[in-house]
Amino acid sequence: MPLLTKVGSLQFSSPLLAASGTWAYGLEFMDHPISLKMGGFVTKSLSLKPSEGNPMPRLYETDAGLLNSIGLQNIGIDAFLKDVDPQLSKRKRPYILSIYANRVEDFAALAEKAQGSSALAIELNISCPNIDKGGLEFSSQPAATETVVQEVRARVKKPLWVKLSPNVTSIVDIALAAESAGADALSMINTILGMAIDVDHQKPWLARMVGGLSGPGIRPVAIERIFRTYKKVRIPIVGMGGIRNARDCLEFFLAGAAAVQIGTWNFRDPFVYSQIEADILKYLEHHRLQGVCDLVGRAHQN
Amino acid sequence: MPLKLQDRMAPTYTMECRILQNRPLAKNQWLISVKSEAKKFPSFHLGNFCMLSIPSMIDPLLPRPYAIAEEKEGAWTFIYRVTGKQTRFLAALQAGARVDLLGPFGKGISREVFHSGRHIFIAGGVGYASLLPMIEEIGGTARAEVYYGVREDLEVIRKGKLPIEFASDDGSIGYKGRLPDLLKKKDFSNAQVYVCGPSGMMKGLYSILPADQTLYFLEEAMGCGFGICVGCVVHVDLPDGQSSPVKSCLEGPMFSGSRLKTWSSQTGGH
Repeated sequence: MPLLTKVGSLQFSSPLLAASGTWAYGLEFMDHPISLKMGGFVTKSLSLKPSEGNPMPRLYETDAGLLNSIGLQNIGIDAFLKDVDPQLSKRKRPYILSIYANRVEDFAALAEKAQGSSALAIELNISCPNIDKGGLEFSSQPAATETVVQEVRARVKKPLWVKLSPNVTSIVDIALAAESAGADALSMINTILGMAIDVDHQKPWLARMVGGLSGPGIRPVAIERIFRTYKKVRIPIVGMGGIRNARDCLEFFLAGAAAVQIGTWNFRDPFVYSQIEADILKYLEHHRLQGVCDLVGRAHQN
Repeated sequence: MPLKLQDRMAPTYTMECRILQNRPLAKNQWLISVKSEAKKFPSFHLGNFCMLSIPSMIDPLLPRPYAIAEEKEGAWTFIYRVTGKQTRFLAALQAGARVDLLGPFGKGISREVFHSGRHIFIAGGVGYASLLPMIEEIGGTARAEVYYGVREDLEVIRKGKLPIEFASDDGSIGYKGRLPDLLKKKDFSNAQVYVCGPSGMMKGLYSILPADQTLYFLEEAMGCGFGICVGCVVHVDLPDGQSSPVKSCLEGPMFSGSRLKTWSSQTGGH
């Protein structure tokens, strides 16, 4: 089982997951054979109340990247638990439930509700750059990170993953704060704050002006943050940022990620998982390695 | 906001296709016809679209939506206006080159609808391409009229079996002026109306056309085409007077005018 992957106490049949915001609630491909090829997916972030998200336009394609300001449009945790979770649970689809709020109390309330789902783990989205309140503020100060992670930790038994922002001075300090507050894993990285201007109309492209940058262009940023953080923390890292093929995944494993999430590339090719797995297996064989776990952090030794 | 859980998507995979032909059809508008390498294309409803991308290119990164304009001998034809990053690359590809295709997506109309009744097609620019499969399907006891607005006659896509009444900005073909002026005295009774064109044009027609009888093709920019990116939402009206953002790739691309009052009053982004 060379693709068998562990993130803390959780075991996945494949190290490839779909990232939050790029697989919706998993319903579109729930009965598609591809959903059996992947390790699982992370839901679009859910809030206490349904949210309409940001005005249009919300997407702007940059050079080899994508700026988005979707603004966490979602159906709300209650509708998710009532209408979506039973469908995923019936099919035994492994998934991670992503939650976001703009107040600590709301994160706590969400966490209690999330505990009742069939999700394998909770991913705490404290790093979305696309909302006015509660996005980056919980992930830019170690003290704020610690508070929110502690409050959620106290209410959930499920493994807790904390998604970190690259838009900070020292991501290692934030990572350490999350770890000491009881996080089981770190998801790295969320999108990079960015902006683009329409020179013909002389105004920002996105209605909300700024957005989060993702796609192949940001991969080196993610690799550097993970490489740096891996040295300092003991909890596992789940890596994401610009992955589109097996070599990209390998780079993340070697930097220290125990598993990876594919994000923006799902929009281009949601069926890429099979090809990536086949290519990873070829690589393992060529390098006479037992499994993906032998690769994790290996670039630190060489 | 009520959740509408989507129907299961029929299993589909990214299909590697070969270009059979790729040629200019009218000013800035090209026709590309592709065939799948390994498997047959699935069946589709009229109005469905596909996402095309150019293999191994990461800039442009995302696929782009194109309406299926024609199906012939196992190949699908798309008509596109050369306007942005992907279409400029697309126009440079030769027959024999590869493109990747995902789809068909969106809600569509069954062919039988076009075999009876009265149908009025109103196209603006390359929007004519999206109406073409329906125009071509007209048969049986159906009656149809086609109105087609362009900036100048060189932009006219010369395809389709029905006679067309034109409007052009410069008067080089048909009525000199805009479609709303040409259509404002028209009788639309008992007709199903289909409108596809730039959003400014469609909003200009909104007050003239009977909302319940009209389908608007909202060809929004899309990040994925199959409901996961949430980048293509349109605000549709709810029975309680509120409006709600829905994904135009899943719920659309056609929307009844009866759901678009809010949309018709919004000014466009770009």
